[in-house]
Formats: sequence, C-alpha cells, structure tokens
Amino acid sequence: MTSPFEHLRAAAPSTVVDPAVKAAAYHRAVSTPVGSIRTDPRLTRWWISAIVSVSAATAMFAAPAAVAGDRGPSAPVPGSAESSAVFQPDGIHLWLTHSDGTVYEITPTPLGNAAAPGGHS
Amino acid sequence: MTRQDRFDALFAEHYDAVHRYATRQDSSAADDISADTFVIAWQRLDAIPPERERPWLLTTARNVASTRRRTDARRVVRETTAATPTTSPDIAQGVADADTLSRALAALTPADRELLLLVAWDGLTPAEAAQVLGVAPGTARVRLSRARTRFEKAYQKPALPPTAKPAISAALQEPS
Repeated sequence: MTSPFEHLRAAAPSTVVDPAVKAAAYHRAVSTPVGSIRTDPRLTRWWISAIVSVSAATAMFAAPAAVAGDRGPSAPVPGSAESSAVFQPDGIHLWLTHSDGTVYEITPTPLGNAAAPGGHS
Repeated sequence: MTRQDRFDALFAEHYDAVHRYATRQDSSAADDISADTFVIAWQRLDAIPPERERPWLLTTARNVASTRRRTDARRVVRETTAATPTTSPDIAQGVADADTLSRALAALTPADRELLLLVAWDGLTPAEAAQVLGVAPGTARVRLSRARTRFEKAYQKPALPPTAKPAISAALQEPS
C-alpha cells in the first residue's frame, strides 16, 4: 500500500515554462556584468537618511555637553545639593535604650549618622 | 569548463525546479523571481557549491521572493487573500486523490508545508531543506517528522460530508 507521503511525491506538479520566458531569463542573467551587485536605490536612500539622523542626534546631545564643560551635563558640582543621592534627614533624633540602662541618642549630621551615648539613664 | 559552460549546465538542470519553487512562493511573480535568482547565480557563480547547487538556488529564490514581499506594498492585499485556509499548492493534473492531498496540505502550517514540499516535490534532503529555510538540520528533521505525521493524519481523515463542502463541489457530485 502506498503511503500518503508517496502519494504526495507522485503529485508533484510539472512545470511547463514558456520557452520565451526561459530564454529571457537566461539572456538577462548572462548579460549582467559579473561582479556588479545591483543596489536598490531605496536601500541607498535609507542608509543616507539613517546616517543623517544619527549625526543630527549626536550633534544635538553633544552641544549641551560642550557648554557644560568637561564634566558633562550629568556631573554634579562637589558639595552641592546634587552631589549625593543619599537621603540625609535633618531634625530627627532617636533614643535607644540598651539592656544595661544606657540610653543612646542618635542625631544625624551632614556627614552621616553619629551615635553617642547620652547622659540619660 | 568555462564559466559560461557551468552556468549553462546550471540553468538547464535547475531552471524548471527554481520556477516551480518560485510559483509556490508567489505564483504571479514566479517568472521574475526565477530570473532574478539566475542573475544572482550568474554573478556569484564561484560561490555556489557544486554539490549543493539546488539548495543554493532555492535559498536565493526564497530570499528574492521574501524581498519582493517586503518591498512591494501591493502584496499586502494578496497576502491577506492567501492567508485564507482554502489556499494550498497546486497538485499535478490528473491525480486521483488531488482533493484529499490538497486538504491534507491545507491542514499544515505554512512553514511545515513548505518544508514537506521541499523534500517531497523538490527532492531535497532534510539537511538541504534546512539550508533553504535557514534553520538547523536537527530542527528541520524534527519539524519534518511532525509535518509528515500531521499530513498523514489529515490525509487519512474521512472527507467532509457533501453538505459541508463548498457549493460548487456539491454541485459537481450531483448525478446528472
């Protein structure tokens, strides 16, 4: 019994190509200069527009950086409010009582948190 | 053998196969796809492996057809039409079970159908078909096995009752 796949093989369509079409394809191929790769003009235009766009974008972002100096627009001035992203609370005091009865007062300072034993016991 | 001789032999041996494959890719542009394929083959004749000429040509034809689809806006309408489930490749004239074969092929995904027909109709090995489709040979073998199983199941499935067939088929089956 023939398998469905063999039926499929046997059902391959035979191509009857117009001899004129075939001859035209042959002559078109052999008349093409060897080594010349045909470039689609639309592709050329795409590349040109891509290069122009990238150049324009680079110039647009480079100009503010040059005005801001060598640091660039995202570099903060040391010591300024922008110089650290660490949250530094002000006006917060914590009192922690140790098991031996010592009370520690924690007061945030501009340079960080400092804990010093307080005199409360 | 000169360059011209090699191209002549290539053209004589493979043009019909390339045209047949191009017809499956885009029946309305098969002549152009075939011609473009052989223009590229002429230009890059030295790059074509002698033992893998047909896979190389079919790969090129597939790429040419794909480029045409992308760049030709008019194809959108045709592709929308081609996406309907009734579309299936032409079966050879005079095949007794052409309807069954068409139905079984239509049951496959387009990718599986293309792979199956590359092997069944274009005579490629699974590895050569993998090259044409741009997938790994192992992947192609797995997909081919799956496609054959689905095809055979769909082939053996009983046909739809006459009432479910299109009106024209039902009309043809009525006794005169």
